[in-house]
Amino acid sequence: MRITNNMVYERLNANMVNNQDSLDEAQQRVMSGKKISKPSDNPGSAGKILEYKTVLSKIDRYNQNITSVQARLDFTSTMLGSATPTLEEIEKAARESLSTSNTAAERQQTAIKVGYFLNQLVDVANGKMGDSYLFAGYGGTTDPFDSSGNATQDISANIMIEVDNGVTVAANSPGDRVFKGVGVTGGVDVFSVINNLITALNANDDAGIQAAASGLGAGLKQFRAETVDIEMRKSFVSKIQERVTGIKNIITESLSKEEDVDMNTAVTDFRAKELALESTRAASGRVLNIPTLMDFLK
Amino acid sequence: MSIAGVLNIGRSALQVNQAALQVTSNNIANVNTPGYSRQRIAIETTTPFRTDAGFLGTGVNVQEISRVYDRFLAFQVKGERENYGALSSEKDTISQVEDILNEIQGPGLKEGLSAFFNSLSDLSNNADGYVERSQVLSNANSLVYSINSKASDLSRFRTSVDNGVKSVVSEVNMIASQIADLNTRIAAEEVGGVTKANVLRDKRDTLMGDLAGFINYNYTEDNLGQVSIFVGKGSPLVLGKSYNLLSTVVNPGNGNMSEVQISNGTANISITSDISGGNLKGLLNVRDTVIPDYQNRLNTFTDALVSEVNTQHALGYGLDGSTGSPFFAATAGNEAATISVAITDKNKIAAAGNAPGPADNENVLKIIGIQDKSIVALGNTTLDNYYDAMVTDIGSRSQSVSRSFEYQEFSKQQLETRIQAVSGVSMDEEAANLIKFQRAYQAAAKLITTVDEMTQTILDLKR
Repeated sequence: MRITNNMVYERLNANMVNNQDSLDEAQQRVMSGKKISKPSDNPGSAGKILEYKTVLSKIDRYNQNITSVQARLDFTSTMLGSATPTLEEIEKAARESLSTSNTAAERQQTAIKVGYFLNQLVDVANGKMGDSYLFAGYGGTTDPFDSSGNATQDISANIMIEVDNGVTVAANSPGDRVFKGVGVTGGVDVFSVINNLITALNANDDAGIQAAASGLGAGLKQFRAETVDIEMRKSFVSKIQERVTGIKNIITESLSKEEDVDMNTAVTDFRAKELALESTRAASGRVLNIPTLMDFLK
Repeated sequence: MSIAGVLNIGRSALQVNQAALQVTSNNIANVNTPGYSRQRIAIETTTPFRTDAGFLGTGVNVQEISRVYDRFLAFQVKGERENYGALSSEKDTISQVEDILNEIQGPGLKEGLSAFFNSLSDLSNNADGYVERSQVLSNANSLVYSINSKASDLSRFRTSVDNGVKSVVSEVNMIASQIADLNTRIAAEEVGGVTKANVLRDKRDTLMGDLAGFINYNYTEDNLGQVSIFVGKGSPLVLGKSYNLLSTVVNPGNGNMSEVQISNGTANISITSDISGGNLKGLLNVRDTVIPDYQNRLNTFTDALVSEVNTQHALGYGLDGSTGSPFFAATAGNEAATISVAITDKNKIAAAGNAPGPADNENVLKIIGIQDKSIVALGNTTLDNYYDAMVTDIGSRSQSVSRSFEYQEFSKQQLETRIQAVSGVSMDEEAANLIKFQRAYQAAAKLITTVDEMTQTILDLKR
């Protein structure tokens, strides 16, 4: 092949440009720490990165929801915990009025005391976390129970919260289950039992007090059952949290594999590209300095 | 046979070698001139003189000064340039479409979509929360904003590609007029058919090479040395000394994009769909196929988002008891550019599944479920996957065009190197020629000195 001057220059230029281009890419990778900056760098990897990012964003959402469910369940559990001693006090008072303090006057005294306890319990049932009622189901702008413990609205709903893909868990304990015994085997309406007790105490009605006392026993069981239920939900949510966190770690690692540069490889690659460019420059310098026949003419 | 005859031979040798030296110097001078083909001098003996003893030579003569040029290579490189032109404009524009749709770096539409669903999820935790409801509206608005801006970026870019088409058309027109002009001058200089207008031909070849980068064409050369160039379905762009102009006309049937036309003297013929090479091909392909494809997909995506969210939203109840209200609004057929949030009063966000209950989150849970729902209109994929596929798709497209471009660039370079090997100037060769012709020139001068001495000898006889 005839080698002409322009051929040599053009080849030198083309090689120099190519080497500079790949050095620039290698430098980009070292400096950004990312393997790809646009989808065409590696479309397959880009698809995975986008998918992983969606999953991570959802996991963050689930984690937030889990925290919020846990807080709410803890709060509800504490509230119920404070209601239980009050109910025990009422039951004790009922039992005492059947044995030791059993005169009509003493029973009326007890009735007044029970009335106070009833108010305390109603306060618990109207308890709020922040702005929202704990035992109101979907209700929420007014107290779910009136002063004698009657529901003022529908308080039956379970508020479901998404804690994992397609997994929801009830974040509340509906008031009608906790206090009215709706849907609970052997459940009682705690407030009407207490109201009955007050009536029976005032009426000095032995059988009525007796019935109320056993009703209160059932009520205590009902509270404990709810507490157990809350604990079970809490442990379920913790398990979900463990799983979600596990998935998050795996996905974060996979994302990093797709996205992040292995610095050793990247730096080695950069050095290799640098060397290639230096060699091209060195070769170019020499080729351009080769004299032509012209230089030998005298 | 005379002494004058010998003198004449010396003179012709001086002249021819001087001409040869001139050609050589011209080659050296033009070593870096783009499009220059090295020239070669063809030398022949003059008609010999017949004597009884046989033919006596009468000297030397310049037969032709021609350029070294490979017609076949030139034809091949035209094809390579057409492909190269198409791929280079396609690569540049597709990579810009990719930039518009890029979601790998920086905040994008996907992030907006996730933020929207995440704020709905926050709302499900506190269905009557003032902050949560405001957050849903503000995230919905930023999602809408990012969809709108993708749509407007795409349509703005389509217009700028269209402007590219118009400027290429005017380049083509300029080249066509220059070629027609060169045709006229070449025909005039080559009249008689012996000499070749080397310089003008080099210029015309350069222009034709440039033209191939803009648009594909066929050409023929007539016996006057004029080329005719045909584009589209054989419409003449250059016909010897005359040329027809390309023009663009707004096509309302294609989003007011420019239709490329050529005049045939009486009417304009559209050649848009017949362009198969050069920058124009790449630009037209991206303008009429690639960008509309992504515009349609973005509209499909937006339509699915709007109709799914609206359908579910209408089934729920707002804090104020309102029901049946849409969440988003969009104009059918142009969803991505027109999507907006229909709700301004945050109390109308229908989080509740039943008539008002402030903490009721049944409906918002169902709206959140849309993020994981396989939607028939999207080919049974989720919103996220559909959009991911779109981004991955432009990535693959851009990658494959870049690869074809690199390959094309390589093979174009190879061919151009081969043309250089044939037509380029080599300094070594020219230096050798310089010596060769200089020595011959010296010898011819010596010959004349010898004749001079011979004449002196004759004159001395008489003394």
